[in-house]
Amino acid sequence: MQSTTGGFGAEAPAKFVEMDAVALRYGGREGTLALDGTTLGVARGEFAAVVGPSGCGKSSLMKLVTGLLPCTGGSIRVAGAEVDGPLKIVGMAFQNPTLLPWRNTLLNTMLPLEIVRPHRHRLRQFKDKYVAQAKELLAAVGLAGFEDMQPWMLSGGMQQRASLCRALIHDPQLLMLDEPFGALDAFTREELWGVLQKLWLDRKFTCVLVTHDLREAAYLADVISSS
Amino acid sequence: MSARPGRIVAHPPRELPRPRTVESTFEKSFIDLVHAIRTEISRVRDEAGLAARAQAGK
Repeated sequence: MQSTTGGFGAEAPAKFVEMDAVALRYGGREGTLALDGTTLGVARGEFAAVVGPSGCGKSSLMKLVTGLLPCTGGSIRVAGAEVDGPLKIVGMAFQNPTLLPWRNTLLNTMLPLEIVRPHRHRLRQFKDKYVAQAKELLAAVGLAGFEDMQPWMLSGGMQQRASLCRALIHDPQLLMLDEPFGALDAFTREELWGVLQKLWLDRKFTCVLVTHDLREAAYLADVISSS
Repeated sequence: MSARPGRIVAHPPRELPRPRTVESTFEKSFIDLVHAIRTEISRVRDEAGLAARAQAGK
């Protein structure tokens, strides 16, 4: 696999997410090639969508950019640094909301604060401030008043709203979304496009959305790449 | 046919104003964009299919 970074002049603006000729092969040398020669650049604050049918490597791309998997060829840089392990500046949400059933909506939303530095060291001292932040975020997605409910008491769409809040509570610079609305009915999905767009317009994080829904990509993204 | 390996092939420019609404997804500029993306994906899949068949025919 060749990496051709020499083609970029110094005047080219640095991208926040840069994939250059990235390859990923699962299961050793004879394994399945999931990505090959994938090149993607996303500017800071930009909303990018990666579209394509099932099995085209969209979820693999997501795992590579967040550092959950190492690539087998090419290079990936996020925020100017080579990705060599799980990133802290990323929030993620998936098709399945994956809320913890024993936690209420508020505590599910606040989970990253218990894990990600520097918040985990400040959480106890500034608890009130963090709780207020979480409630504000939940209100922004229409979940005001549902803070004390357990996940099973929420509809699928509401769980996905909470999952978006959890992905954003630590104010990540990069939000990675893997088919976040794929399991929802068409009406709820369209409603959540609006919710996500509003969050992005308000907070201006960089966002990479992986989806097979072309309308969803066209509604939300500034840049659309097919995979 | 396998869709693998995935390659990102298109970066269509976006000129639709924000905030977008569900209503705006029924406007012509939006529909044209969705069509263009769809055509591009089909083209790439067809090419990949031809390449795979050529490989298999060797």
